[in-house]
Amino acid sequence: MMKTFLSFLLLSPLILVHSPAWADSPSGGGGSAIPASVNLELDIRGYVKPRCELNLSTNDIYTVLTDGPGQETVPFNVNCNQRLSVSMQSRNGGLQHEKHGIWDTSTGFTGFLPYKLEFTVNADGAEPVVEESEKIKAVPGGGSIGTIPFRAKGNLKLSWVPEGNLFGGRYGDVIEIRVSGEGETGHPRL
Amino acid sequence: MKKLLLAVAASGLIATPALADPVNDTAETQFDGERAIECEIEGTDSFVDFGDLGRRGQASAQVDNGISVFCNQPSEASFTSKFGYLRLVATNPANDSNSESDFTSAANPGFSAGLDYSAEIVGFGLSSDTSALTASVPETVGPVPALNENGVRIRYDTIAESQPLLGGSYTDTLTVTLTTLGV
Repeated sequence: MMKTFLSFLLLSPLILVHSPAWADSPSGGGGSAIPASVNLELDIRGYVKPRCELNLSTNDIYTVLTDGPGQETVPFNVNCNQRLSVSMQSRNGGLQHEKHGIWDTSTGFTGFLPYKLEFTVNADGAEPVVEESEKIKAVPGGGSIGTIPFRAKGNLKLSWVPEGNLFGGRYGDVIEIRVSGEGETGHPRL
Repeated sequence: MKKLLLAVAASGLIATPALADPVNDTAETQFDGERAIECEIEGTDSFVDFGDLGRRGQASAQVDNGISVFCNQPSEASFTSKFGYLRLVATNPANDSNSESDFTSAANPGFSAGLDYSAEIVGFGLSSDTSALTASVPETVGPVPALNENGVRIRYDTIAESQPLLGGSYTDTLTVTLTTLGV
């Protein structure tokens, strides 16, 4: 492909220089080999800059916990002109009590609450990407939604089911979400 | 025309590294939750009746069964006695005991108008008796881990006096308190 492009660059000046001569040829007399038309093959290329943007509606999720199941949903806007892949990482691997580690868990109480993350984009053909917080503590996890979400909305659903009673107090975690294009635009690279 | 072609070529050269760059965006969100602190004692009997007391206050121990305790933080248990002992219900104040520690009836030497008793939260090593309590002053009896128990028992027993009791009814109110220790 590069070779064709370079050939075009080299030949084009010659073609343009000689064209006026061909146009004058009918009055030039005798030249039966002069072509009446010339076919020019143009290799036209374009480039749309890849872009993937994610905007969460909030950067601070707060929930009131009970000893039963619960969930929170965070809407977001996403705009990507490539097939979108998402990766998520949890700093603590779950909601962790601010004093986690000092408690005697033999009492049936826990200061750690793992949760499920479900990244869903409202776009045709989009598949939700689901992860467990405990599995994405050390290394991010995620996957492709399988489609290109142009200016789409979506939501991040966090849900949990405590395995025991929760110690009273504050719990926290930090979730990092990274969206990226998979680089599959369908166009050949230059 | 050469300038135009060079411009096109230059554009292609710039595009190549841009395609190789990862296209991404990152969002970070703080996820916080709060579990309310709960500490409840339910199912205690309103009355604990020792029945007929012996001459010096002997009685069968009484057990308050089926108490539910839910406390989602470690706590500290304390007992508070209204009078500091089982006190004679007297209409004539002269028959009262001399003090919280000397139960001798002021008007009836050789007889007591009160007696001590003990209370124990069975299985948790938490116990005390009224000889160690001052009226209406909480007495810490020990730490308690976070609890979710339905079968907690409190055992009460009288502590016999060295002298006989005046005839009559004896009463006290004992309050058991769990105070969370915080985090």
